[in-house]
Amino acid sequence: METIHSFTPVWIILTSSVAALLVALLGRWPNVRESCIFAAAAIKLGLLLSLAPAVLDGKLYEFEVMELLPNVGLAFRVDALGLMFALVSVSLWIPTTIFSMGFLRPLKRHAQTRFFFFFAIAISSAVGVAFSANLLTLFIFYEALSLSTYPLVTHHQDDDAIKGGRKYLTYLLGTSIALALPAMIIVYQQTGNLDFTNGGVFADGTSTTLLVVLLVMFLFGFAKAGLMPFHAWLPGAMVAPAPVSALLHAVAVVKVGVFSIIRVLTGIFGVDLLANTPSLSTIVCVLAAITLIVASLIALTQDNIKSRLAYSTIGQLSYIILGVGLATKSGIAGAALHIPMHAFGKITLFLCAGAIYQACGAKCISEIHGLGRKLPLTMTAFFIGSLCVIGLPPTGGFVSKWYLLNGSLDSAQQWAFAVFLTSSLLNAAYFLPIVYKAFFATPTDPARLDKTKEPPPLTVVPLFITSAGCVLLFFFSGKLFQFANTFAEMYTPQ
Amino acid sequence: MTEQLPIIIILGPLLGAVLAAFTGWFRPRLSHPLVVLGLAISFAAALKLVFIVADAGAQKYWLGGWGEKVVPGQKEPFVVGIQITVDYLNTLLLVAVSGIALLTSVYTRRLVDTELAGRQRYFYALFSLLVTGLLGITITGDIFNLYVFMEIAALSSYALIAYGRGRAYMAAFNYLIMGTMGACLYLLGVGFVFAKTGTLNIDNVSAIIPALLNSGQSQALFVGFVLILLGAWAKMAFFPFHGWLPNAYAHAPTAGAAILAPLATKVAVYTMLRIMVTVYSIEYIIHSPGIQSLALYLSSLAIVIASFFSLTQTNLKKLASYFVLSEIGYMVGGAWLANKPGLTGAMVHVVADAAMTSALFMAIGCIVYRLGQAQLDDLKGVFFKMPVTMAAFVVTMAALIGVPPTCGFFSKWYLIQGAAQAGVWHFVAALLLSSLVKAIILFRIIEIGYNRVPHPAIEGNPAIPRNEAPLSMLIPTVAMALGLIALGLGTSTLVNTIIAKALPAALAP
Amino acid sequence: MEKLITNFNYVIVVILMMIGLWAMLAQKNLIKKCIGMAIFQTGIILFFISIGAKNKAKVPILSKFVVENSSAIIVNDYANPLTQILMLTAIVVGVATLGVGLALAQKIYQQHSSFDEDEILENQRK
Repeated sequence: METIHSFTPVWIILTSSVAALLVALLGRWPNVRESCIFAAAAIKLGLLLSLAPAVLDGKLYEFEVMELLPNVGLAFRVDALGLMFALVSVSLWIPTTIFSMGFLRPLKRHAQTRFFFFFAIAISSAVGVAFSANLLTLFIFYEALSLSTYPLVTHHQDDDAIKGGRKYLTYLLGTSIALALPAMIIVYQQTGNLDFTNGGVFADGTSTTLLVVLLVMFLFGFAKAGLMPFHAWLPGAMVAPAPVSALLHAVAVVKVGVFSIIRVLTGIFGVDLLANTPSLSTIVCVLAAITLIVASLIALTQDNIKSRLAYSTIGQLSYIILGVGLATKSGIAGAALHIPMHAFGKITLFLCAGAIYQACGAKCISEIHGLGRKLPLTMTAFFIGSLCVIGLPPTGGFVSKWYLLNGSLDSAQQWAFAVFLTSSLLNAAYFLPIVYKAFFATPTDPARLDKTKEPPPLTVVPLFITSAGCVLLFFFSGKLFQFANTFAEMYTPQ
Repeated sequence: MTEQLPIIIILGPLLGAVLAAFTGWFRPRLSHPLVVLGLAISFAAALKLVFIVADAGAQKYWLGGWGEKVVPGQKEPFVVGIQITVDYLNTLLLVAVSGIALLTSVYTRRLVDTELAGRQRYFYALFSLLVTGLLGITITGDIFNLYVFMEIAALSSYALIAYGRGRAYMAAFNYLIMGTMGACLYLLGVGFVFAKTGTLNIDNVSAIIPALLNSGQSQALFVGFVLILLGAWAKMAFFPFHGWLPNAYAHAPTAGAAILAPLATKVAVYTMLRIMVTVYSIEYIIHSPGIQSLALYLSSLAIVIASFFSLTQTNLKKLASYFVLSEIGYMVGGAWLANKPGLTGAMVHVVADAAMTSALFMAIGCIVYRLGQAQLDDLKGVFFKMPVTMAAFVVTMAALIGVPPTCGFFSKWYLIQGAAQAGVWHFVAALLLSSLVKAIILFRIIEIGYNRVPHPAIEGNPAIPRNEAPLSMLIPTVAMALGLIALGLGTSTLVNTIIAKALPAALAP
Repeated sequence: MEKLITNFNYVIVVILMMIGLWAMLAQKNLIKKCIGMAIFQTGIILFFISIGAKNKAKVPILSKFVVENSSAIIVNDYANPLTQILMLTAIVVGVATLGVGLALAQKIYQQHSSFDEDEILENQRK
């Protein structure tokens, strides 16, 4: 594996941090402020794409900033998975910012500068996680993400927001400090090394009990991945404004959690350790499967749109964890591929929820009967988004679920195949009725319907972009699959 | 000149104190600059010494030129007079103490002018004397001399606390009783050591003790060790001798608390470390029957109990003093783990905690200066009134919680690593629990000070005027808060160049 | 039993220290606490001096005749001066501490008109 020494990863992270600073300073001129963000996002995308060719070739970009503890430091490494995740986050930052402008300005929400400032910091932290070369750097940016998203979650500053924020922090900070931190220190104390290494860092013959305990601590410690029972922060975080829920809790924050678990499973434990130690892979798969099914079932009972989407997210994250737990090449590739596919699908759905709220103030499914006639564009986007999450062609979700299903057949956990299929059926069961009711059901509240008009273009255009993305991903899935496959090949023993 | 640097560290604040007290009679306004000057000289000397020690090893100085005498047949030359040593163990603490004292002396100017009008010169003289005592404890190489400096510092601190008037008198009296008990126990322990070894010099004692231990004459030495340990524990307010601290620091004048809280207890921890690591060797510690596990259980208890009490506090200064109590538990536990990461963690934490507590009390002092009160409920809207101060406060609390890349994270890392290695899981649990409790308190303060306040930017809500602390108070606070991050990033350098060399060679890895 | 009699100095020291400690911690009157503190410190001072004492030892002051004929200095004839010097320092420290303690007690009395700890705490709570 060839490594290229380059400061570019740090530039990429710094770009959005500098943008954050500019946002804070230029807060008085909203248009200038927002253009800083777009400029930063464009520069970031450009830099990221410049790294792509070498990374797809199997090379790595590395940079160590400084040593913090013996043998462990603040170090960055860009590989296929990290680059793909960073690309997803940054490319979705742009439509979300457009949506935020459209959403927050007409509603005259306060403290927009604070909003965009912490948003930019959160994106920097997410990219920092993507580029972490070792567990310590990942932990640092993971915590930075928790802390920088707190002001976003409590943006409305009313009682609900404060309660939601409290729950948010209790779950995220509590698990990371109480579970992930000691697990990380124990790994360091046992092995002296926290780098993400192909084949893991544990010496042969490490006691299985210790490995099992550490595994469970990591799985629950990175509560951003939403494994039950530490999932409750996600529905609680829905008090955030819609753009926050969209980007952060459908894409950045939750994917950071799942990304961290992928890194731990492939880089600290190692795929062959997982494959050869049945107890380890069984635990991962069982926990993920339980979360998958239970979350999907709960989603069926939720009337509030954002809650239903939140539980759907919890379920979809466990798809990814289950895929990695299978410890096969196509399982891991499918899991990695599901990151962008689900991201595009989910963000479309959340942005639609926000657009619906903006257009007619409806938050629940019972309130949107017949809405499709007034908001055809929005509901079509919703339909495409749900197809992507369910996993049906012609959307990208189909490709990732295909690889996941293949991976389950290759592995020792063939029952996962049934779990995946059942869950896809449940996904259909809780998404399609929404679309049906919106277009074909008789309205329960005609007065509300009359007052509805299509939301402003700033809100609708992003929907268009992301739903188009879902479809385009299907046709260009080969390119994305290259990323996933390069990563899977690098970490799976031949 | 460089040979005189060790004594200059003590002479600076000592002369500053004396001059401030005397010139204060006819020129009261001179007392503050004199004290600052003395502390600046001391800080410069301490800083220079760090680099000298990092290069050349321990620096020794004999007061009065008594020097040392080489005695044939003895490993160490015999020291006749009082020796002061700057070695790997205390050089960082010297810089920390003198640096924090310097910053605090600049910082407390406004507070002293308002809270202690007319008595500034006495306050500053006592301030400087306190710092002399603390620096003396840190730098001395003689166990009786340590007692003398300990009492200099203690008497100054009793008086400093009593300046708070009102409830401070009783608090100072209780502190006096407990502190004197601790100092006397220490003295008694020194007596036992002297009775057995015949010398008071730390190097000589540490050379003689191993032979005595092996020959079986160790009962008196053991009693001496226990007495010294109890004395140090009483001075550092380690559970169960902690009763005096919350009241003393809460009722002291804010300026007094700002200098006492960061330094007094840490220097007592240093005393314990010096006795454990240098005087008695680390093997003795490990084979001390039962003391190790007792110390570890007491540490965990100290941390847990202090954390629980801090949750119920409504007064900011008392809250901060409960934080201090829990941090002491970290250091004692880390030291008694008796392995490399544990001891490294304890040593890093002594410096880190001095910085963190100093930043915390400085931020609280700014709030008290402007708002006149220190109750949690009075913090409504404080984030809008004093944004810079609260930013520094948030950084300090993040350091106390242990958020990377502040210094608190790294010292906690070493402590947890050491505890995991030694299998002392209750200590790990206590450390994590205290982090979570501090996080709860921080976000409670954020809610009171920011979230629950009607946002002034929205029309119809009352405006909240900016009332930031004066620059002379704000700059040290911000500097200290930034220093926490710098210290965190520089932990690795400090550990590699200095602290690792202070660890005894025979320590378990 | 025999050991106790031969080491009677240590026994006395222990008794004094216990009296002092009890007075410091268990007594409610502030002045009695100060007195207890003084007794405790006195016990320790006696301990130090007694370990420096020798059988039939003289005061450690050298007369002019002895200094001129240095061969006449027999160390065992003189009590250990070091412990006595240390205790001079300790006595000074004890006096200073006692002074500060009594000053504080005086201030407390001015505030609460009582030296009793319980009454003072009650007074403070009002």
